[in-house]
Amino acid sequence: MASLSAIAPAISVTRDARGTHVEIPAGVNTDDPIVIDYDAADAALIAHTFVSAGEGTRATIVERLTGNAEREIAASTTVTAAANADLTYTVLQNVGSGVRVEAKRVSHVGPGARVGWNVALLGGSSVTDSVISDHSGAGANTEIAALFFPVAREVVQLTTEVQHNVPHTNSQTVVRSIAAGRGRGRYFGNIRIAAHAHGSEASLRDDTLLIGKDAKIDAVPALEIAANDVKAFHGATVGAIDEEHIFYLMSRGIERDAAEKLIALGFFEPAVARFPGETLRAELRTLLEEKLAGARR
Amino acid sequence: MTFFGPNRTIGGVSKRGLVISGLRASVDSKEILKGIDLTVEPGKVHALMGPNGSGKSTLAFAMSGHPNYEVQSGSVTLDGTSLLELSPDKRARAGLFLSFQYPAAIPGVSVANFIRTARMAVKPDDLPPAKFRAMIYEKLGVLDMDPAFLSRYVNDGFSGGEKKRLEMLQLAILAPKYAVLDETDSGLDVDALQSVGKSIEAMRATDDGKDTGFLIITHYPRILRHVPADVVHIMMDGRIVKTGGPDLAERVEREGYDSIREEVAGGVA
Repeated sequence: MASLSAIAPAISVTRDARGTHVEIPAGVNTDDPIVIDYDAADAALIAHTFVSAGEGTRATIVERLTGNAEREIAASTTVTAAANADLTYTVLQNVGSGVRVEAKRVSHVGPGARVGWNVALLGGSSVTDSVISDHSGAGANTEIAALFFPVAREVVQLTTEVQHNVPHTNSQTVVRSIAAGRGRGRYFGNIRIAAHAHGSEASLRDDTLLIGKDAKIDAVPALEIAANDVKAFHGATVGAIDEEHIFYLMSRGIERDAAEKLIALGFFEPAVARFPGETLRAELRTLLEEKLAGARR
Repeated sequence: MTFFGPNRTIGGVSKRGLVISGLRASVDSKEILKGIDLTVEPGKVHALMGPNGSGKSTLAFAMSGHPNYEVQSGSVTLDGTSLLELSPDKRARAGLFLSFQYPAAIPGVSVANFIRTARMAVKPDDLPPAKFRAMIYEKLGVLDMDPAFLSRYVNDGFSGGEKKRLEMLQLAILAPKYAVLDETDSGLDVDALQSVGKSIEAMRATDDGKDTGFLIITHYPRILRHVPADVVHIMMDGRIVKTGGPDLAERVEREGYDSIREEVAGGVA
């Protein structure tokens, strides 16, 4: 059972057999996040969310996904942002280590509109998540910030994709991942710029830290650029924690475990910094710290 | 009469001091330190000078336990505690501080978080948060550092002067028993060097800092104008070849290292 809190009176949040519907009528702006809680408490959870952001609106939605035991969760989000809308959708997924999750997040971004995805994937024995955004008008902008963190025997696969189908649209994708213990991950980062989508700008930044010799993350970036007069940037790093950094912290009296934890939390910070609201960021940092504490070796 | 060596008093063992004895160390299988004997007493400033490649930084890293530096023989004790068997964090908790020549940048970790964690590691039963914050602001002021520093990431995008000031801020806040400053003055402009000197002298004037022993490693005598040395050692080719008073530093400035090299070339082991 989802619990919903709609802050602004004009925004409607309803539930029917298809899922949860959030309607933000044209012109409505709100800074208070709309929170949607999905908890796989007693049974398998199917969580579909449909967001319709009208013209010129501004809103933030926070979806919290939790669950325990060996639940299965199937989740999807569809965001449609009309012209000049500004919609931020945050997913805080924190599930037990036996839970299996399959999620698909899709956004359709209209002319001059912006959709910002912030996805944090924590926990789960097997997690498959994709964030796919397409642009239907000039001036559309997609921002994706994601972090995932398989530890112990968790397996996470994340796919992000931005489709620049029309001229003059932007996107920015930032993904940070850490694998520890026997945690395994895969990241597919896709940028597609169609032949007539000149004047597009896209960037893809993917950074991975591996803690321990059994941790593994494969990153597969794919930039398909069919147009001229575009700007596309891609940067990626994969590595272990730098021993010089560990030594620097230890030389200040900080034990190795604590030093690794500081560095790992710092590593996630560029992604965490993009999540909206200091309270939310503090909550996310606490979740990451707890996971790090339990994840050594 | 039996000669115990330079680090002990006859009739008893003097335990206080940072005592380096017969230290031999190598890096990449190449021997750099060929037997170093040096004692820093509480509250005293020892300068260690020498030409590039003489092994000064190797000494600093070997003392702090950097994994790339292998100690072949010898000992380092801090007020009686033997350091060489200890991991770097335990050496720091025993009271050793190393100011790096090239401090590491740790992205995403704020200066505030880092300093608080380090202080709690070396001084666990500590000041309540409000007092700690007041202390940090006070030390920032002495170093002419903007409090905005606290929310920046450690050494990330810092200029050389900013990095050295952060090292000095840590020195002031961690209040170690012995501080090894590795070429703190390198790359600093006049103002930054003055701040650094002011900060060290301010620390030495406090109750916490007056007994701190300093080993200032430097190529040039500049910093010694701000922090006067009690003893000056000259290191060459992995050995300390000459020890003297502050006038020895002045001699290096006037005559360079070559004159000292010639003087000792007569043959001292």
